[in-house]
Amino acid sequence: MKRFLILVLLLGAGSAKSMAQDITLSGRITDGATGEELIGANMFVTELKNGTVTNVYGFYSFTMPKGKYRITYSYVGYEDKDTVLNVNQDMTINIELMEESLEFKEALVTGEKVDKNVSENKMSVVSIDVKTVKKIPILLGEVDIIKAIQLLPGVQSAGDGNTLSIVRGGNVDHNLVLLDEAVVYNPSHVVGFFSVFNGDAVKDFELYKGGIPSQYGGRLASVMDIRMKDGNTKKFSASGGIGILSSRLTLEGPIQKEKSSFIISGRRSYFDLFFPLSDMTKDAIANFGDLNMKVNFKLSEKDRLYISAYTGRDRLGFAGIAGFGWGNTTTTARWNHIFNQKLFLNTSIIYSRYNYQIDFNLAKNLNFQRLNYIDDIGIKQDYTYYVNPKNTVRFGFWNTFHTFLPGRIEPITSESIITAASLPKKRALSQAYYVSHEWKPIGRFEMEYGFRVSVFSNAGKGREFVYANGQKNFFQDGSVRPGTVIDTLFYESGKFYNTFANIEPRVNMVYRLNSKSSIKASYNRMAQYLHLIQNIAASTGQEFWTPSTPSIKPQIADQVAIGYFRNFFDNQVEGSVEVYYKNMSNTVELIDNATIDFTENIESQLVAGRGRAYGAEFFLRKTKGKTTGWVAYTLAKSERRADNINRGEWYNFRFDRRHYLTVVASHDLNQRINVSGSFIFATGDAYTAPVGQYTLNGQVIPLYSDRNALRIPAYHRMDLSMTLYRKKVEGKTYKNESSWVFSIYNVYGRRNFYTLDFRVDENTGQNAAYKTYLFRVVPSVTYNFKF
Amino acid sequence: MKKQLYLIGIVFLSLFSACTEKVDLELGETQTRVVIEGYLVTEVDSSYVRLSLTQDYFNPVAPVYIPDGTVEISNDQGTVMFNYVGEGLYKGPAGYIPDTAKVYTLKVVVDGKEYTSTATLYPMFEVDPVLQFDYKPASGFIDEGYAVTYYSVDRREDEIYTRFNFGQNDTMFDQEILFTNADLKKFERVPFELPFYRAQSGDSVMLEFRSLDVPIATYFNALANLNSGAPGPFQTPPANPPTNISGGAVGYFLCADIRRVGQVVP
Repeated sequence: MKRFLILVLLLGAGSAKSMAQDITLSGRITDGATGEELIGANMFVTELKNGTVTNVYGFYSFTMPKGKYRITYSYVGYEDKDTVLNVNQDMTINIELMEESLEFKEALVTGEKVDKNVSENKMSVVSIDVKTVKKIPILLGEVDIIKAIQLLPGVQSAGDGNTLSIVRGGNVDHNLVLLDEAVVYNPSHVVGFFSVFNGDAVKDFELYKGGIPSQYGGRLASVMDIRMKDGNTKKFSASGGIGILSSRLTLEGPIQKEKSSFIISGRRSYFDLFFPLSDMTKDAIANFGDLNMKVNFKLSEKDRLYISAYTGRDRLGFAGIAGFGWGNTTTTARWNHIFNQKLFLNTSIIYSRYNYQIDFNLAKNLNFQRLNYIDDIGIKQDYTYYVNPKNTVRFGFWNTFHTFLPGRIEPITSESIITAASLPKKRALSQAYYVSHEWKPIGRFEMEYGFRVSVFSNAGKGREFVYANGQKNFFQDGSVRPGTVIDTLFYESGKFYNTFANIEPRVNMVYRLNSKSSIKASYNRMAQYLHLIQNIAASTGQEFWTPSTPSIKPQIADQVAIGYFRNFFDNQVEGSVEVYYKNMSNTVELIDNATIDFTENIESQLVAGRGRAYGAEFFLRKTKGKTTGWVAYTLAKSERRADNINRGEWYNFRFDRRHYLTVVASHDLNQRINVSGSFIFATGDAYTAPVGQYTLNGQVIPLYSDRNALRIPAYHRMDLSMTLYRKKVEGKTYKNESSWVFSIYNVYGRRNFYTLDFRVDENTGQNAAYKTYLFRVVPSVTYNFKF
Repeated sequence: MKKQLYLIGIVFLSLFSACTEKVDLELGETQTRVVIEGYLVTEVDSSYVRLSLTQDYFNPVAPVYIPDGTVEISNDQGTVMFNYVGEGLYKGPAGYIPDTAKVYTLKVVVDGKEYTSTATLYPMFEVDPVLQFDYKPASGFIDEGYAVTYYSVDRREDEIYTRFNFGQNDTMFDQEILFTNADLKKFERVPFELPFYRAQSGDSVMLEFRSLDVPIATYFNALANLNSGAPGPFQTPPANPPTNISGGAVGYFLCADIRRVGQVVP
């Protein structure tokens, strides 16, 4: 750390020395039509053959010698803007870029930075622009960025139609999902069939599955950073869509033109309207809704304030008998401050809550309500110091206080025989401090290196259990059993009674072999202090998060990746091959027959395991022209190992899939019609099955195999869609836009496994295996509008 | 938990018109293991131990019983030998009935290999012999009829589970309900209405209660939570239930005090 700070100071000193001759050009690049700040837009100085990109707030800074330069500002999907500047002092230049017109789109646009795939010092990053997402055929026509991401290499769905993701062999809870920097603990609606992210409210998203920058942490496998739109600062507009099962509406506009704006975007499902049609479902309740809101204020040329919020809720159950409700709520207040041309600061105060509630009213004497939540309140600062074109330093911190309510039961009526009970709250403070240095010593080589120090402390009021022989669980008679609690340690309020600390190094580097190809490599260590306790794969809202404690060690992952990147046909086609190896320790594995429901000493149901995941990802994407799309193939292996599970031997991770192939294609037949399709093939998931049987008291009991020892058949599916846009005449501008999206999910009706059951065949009296499949051929239609 | 998942499952499987079909799967083979079913209950001549072997899952043959084992059950007052009576069954002497509030040990020897288990026979809580019937209209998927309520008093200090079953007209339902007394009111008379059940006038309602110690309740709980397979979004990772028998056998040694209550709906 000390050496690193000395290096930073030296760089600063060098910068100060050269400042006599150099000037800095900075500013923001925005969308000319909406005022939205553009993330990752390019600024390129022709004479220097060098440039920079905007940060997540659209800010850029570039230091260069005094002189007269031709500067090009560009962004994918937008018209370039060239300007000639005589720069002899520090300058602030704000740029507005306009979206490409239809005629312009017809022509092939190639800018200096369309070779990002090769030239950027980023690997293992997954991103698709939101417009592309909207063309990809998706289940029931609901625009879903997560399902689109699951078509890219290294990211896989946790089941048919499921938005929970498996990234490079990691668990579902190994993914950090951020919405405007707030953690979204459950990113899915309707047990995973829809994501909580409304495509109309999302401006930009990136998923890091490796080479994770040091400002991110807290999860082993990936970081999905989603940024909401800021709202149109130029004019009021409305957009939305009407689908079969849900509809959405977005309103946005200036509060004070060019200075402040708002956006509010909501969705509501209405598939429960069809329930009364069937006797089986007439009393069923199943719906979801969510709301995204954001306002932003330009306080001065150097200060911006953003306040964004999200709230979503799922409801499920049977009227008067049982009901479940769960949802996320987040709020982020951010203040951007530009100290000078070189130093940018963002300060955020972040609140996040995930909770669920269950109501059971089985009989007049048997009713109860159960609650569970996790609350976060945190503060975060991110500094970016643009030292000079060769050196950029980023540093900051993110501290969060977590409060967990593992469970509280209350009788609904006074007649209930259920007595009130509550598992004690748990509290923890997580702190993270990071610094990184982006270094471009020579034209061909770039690297960004740094580290993150994460500190996690359990805080009182709390209690921890002491187990007989120090064993929170033990192996006996062929099964793992919970340990016996022999003592309880109580900690007073406000006292930090247990602390973990980890140093997490991060390195990314690129060596450009030539203008068409490069080699990239990365290493990252990640520490995870929060763990999702879940004994099923679906997100039903009944899973819960628990912190690391003296009995649940932090999970640690080390991942190394190396890749070859190559562009073809004048950057129209991007290709890459990445290989990775990830080693995980202290993975949280459930013991056999774990009881996680309302269990205070949850550690007795868990064992610390190890994990290893490795593979190769092949990716070929065509980004320009009438036909675009990609082919992605992943060859991978993911395994786990834990004491007392399968005799301590390595076993298949449940979502271990040796082969995973996706093909996505989109073709503009003309200016009005786009047709798109996608295909997925995946090796079947690992599972545990009965391999024998015996009878007790007349009941046939299955005798099970080792955990995840068997495999279901392969999964494959093809989807198609057609988007029909409003007819337009060249040269004419339109205030309104609209489109119809027709899609078919699972075109050839593959009966993919959703569940697998073993039971007696009533016809033969013999045991048999039965699969349940959900989606055979699912057509849908959605109407989208914007005015 | 299982019921919660079941409800969720029903909603969504019906929502998306799920279909089910029989499939052929290769499950492999496993080594044959000894199966011990120890059943010690407070009804005369009802206790037994059955010894058999595990079988293939898809292609079971006729039950393979073990006729030449030795079985003994002991407590702090002595040991009782159980003798083979056929079809894998070993029974105690005529008129045998175990005492409550005792710890029992089962010892089984098969082919020279010894299997042992220990279980506690706790008394049941007190149940009123008279049931309460309240007429209720149809609600949700529950038909109209008489809700059945029993009253009980629990004076026991230890954590004890109850395995509850009920039925009507000489037929018991396969609705074994397992619950602990840990979270229930004690030392006072409390009512319990049978969930989701409506009897009709003239029905003969039967209730059956068995007391279980924690290890055997854990076994039944695991069994109840076991899904018949995986994967599936609502399914827990399956595993063999944690037996209370040491030595490598599967099965259990169950000790239970039994209470039965019956009444005809007026």
